[in-house]
Amino acid sequence: MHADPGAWLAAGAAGAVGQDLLELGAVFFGLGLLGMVAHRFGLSPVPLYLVAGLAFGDHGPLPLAAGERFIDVGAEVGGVLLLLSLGLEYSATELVSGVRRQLPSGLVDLVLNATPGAALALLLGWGPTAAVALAGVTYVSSSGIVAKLIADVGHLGNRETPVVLSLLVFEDLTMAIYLPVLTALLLGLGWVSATTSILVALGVVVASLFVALRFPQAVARMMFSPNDEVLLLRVLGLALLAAGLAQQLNASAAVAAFLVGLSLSGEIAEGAYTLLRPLRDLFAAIFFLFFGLQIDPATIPEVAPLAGLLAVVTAVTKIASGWWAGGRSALTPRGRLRVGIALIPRGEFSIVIAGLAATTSVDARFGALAATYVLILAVAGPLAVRMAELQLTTHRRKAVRSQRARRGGAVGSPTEREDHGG
Amino acid sequence: MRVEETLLPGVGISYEFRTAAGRQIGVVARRDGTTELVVYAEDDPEYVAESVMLQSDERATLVELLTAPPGPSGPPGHTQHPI
Repeated sequence: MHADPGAWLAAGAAGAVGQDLLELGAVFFGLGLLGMVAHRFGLSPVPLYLVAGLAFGDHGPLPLAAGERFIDVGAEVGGVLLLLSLGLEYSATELVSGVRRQLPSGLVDLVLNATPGAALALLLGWGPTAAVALAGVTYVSSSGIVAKLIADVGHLGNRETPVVLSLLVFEDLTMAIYLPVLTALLLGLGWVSATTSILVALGVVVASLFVALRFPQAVARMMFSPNDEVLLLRVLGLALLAAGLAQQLNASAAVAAFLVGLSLSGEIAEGAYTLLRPLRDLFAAIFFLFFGLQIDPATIPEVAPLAGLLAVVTAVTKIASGWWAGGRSALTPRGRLRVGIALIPRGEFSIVIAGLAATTSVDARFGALAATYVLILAVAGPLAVRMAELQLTTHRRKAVRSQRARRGGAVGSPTEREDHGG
Repeated sequence: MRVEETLLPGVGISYEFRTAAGRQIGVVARRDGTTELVVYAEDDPEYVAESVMLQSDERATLVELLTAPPGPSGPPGHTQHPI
């Protein structure tokens, strides 16, 4: 590390620093282009970042060399920021009320969607730990992709949206308990230390929820600053500290970051979320890229059919659990279908889980399977929603037009809307 | 007239009500300050047919228009189109 920035800049023209910048610049610019393409087609950029990781990895066609240090750390920060932002989006009250309202539906969601992953891992002979990990990968829908998708297609006002969002909340809270359990299992801790760390993790979750529910002002006052940069540094610093501490204690860094976000609410949370969003977007892209970097693309053709099968099965199970949840909220059949379809995409949590599993002793193909699986659903899920939207729109336009015709002409509408064809 | 208020976790609050003519309309108030004007489908009042995002000044304009529609000699800032 160069202590003098002047000397650093001067030395930069030659040697490793210059190459660092070149590679990082190329990576970021490339990610930006990918993001642009994704948004152009109304898709989530996540799968494209994964693909970029596959291309730039050690085994891929264009191996990165010098920029790796930054990307390593960047990915860890990205994971923290993803979960911190998620926690900031929710208030503890929402979390608790969401869980209470959707408890039965959440459990059905869990059972129906975790089972295929666990079953596949066991069938492949990967062992019970891999089964637990893969169960998590197939269970949890991507809160980021789903919420953004609903907002993008303008369906926030739909009757089924609160059901979808509550299920996401339930899943996120389940992750807060699942991730410490998985971490303990992956580390191969003995029964005693595993149970201790799980109990400690649960205790921390309950304690933070309690503090967030009972003393929201206290936390806000501690973090508040009229200065944007101070608030940013404090919140991010606290999240990183909590995550680092959790990791030292063999607990889940992701959950710690999530809880930090959760314990902030109201204006502080709003302000912090807005300040952190650009950082999150940058480091989250690195996070997904990093995961892709670790995968050997040569292993993908082998696992692709399995991933495809798993994707189809778990898309169906999501629709089924969504159908069940919609029934409990007395939605129409179309609404019940929409719940499940909206929840198909998998994303950040599945990658977090797969990232945890990939660094330990589960089968080498786990990472490739998880990446391919997430890729398929992160693309197919939003497509399914938009196609369903299109179907329903044209179907409905015809229904409305025939309804109006039967009523003998629309009441006082001077112009007929042209059919744009969706 | 009953306004239904629904919490959208992580997003905001949705308000909706049914008009005498049988249409469902509403507003989604997002946490980030933007508002969405929502019109539900004629044949499926659970499904959003049209939603329009409004910034706070646009919301104010809409409120102004709805509360007291100006007459033909409207206030400055409005462009008049003679029929």
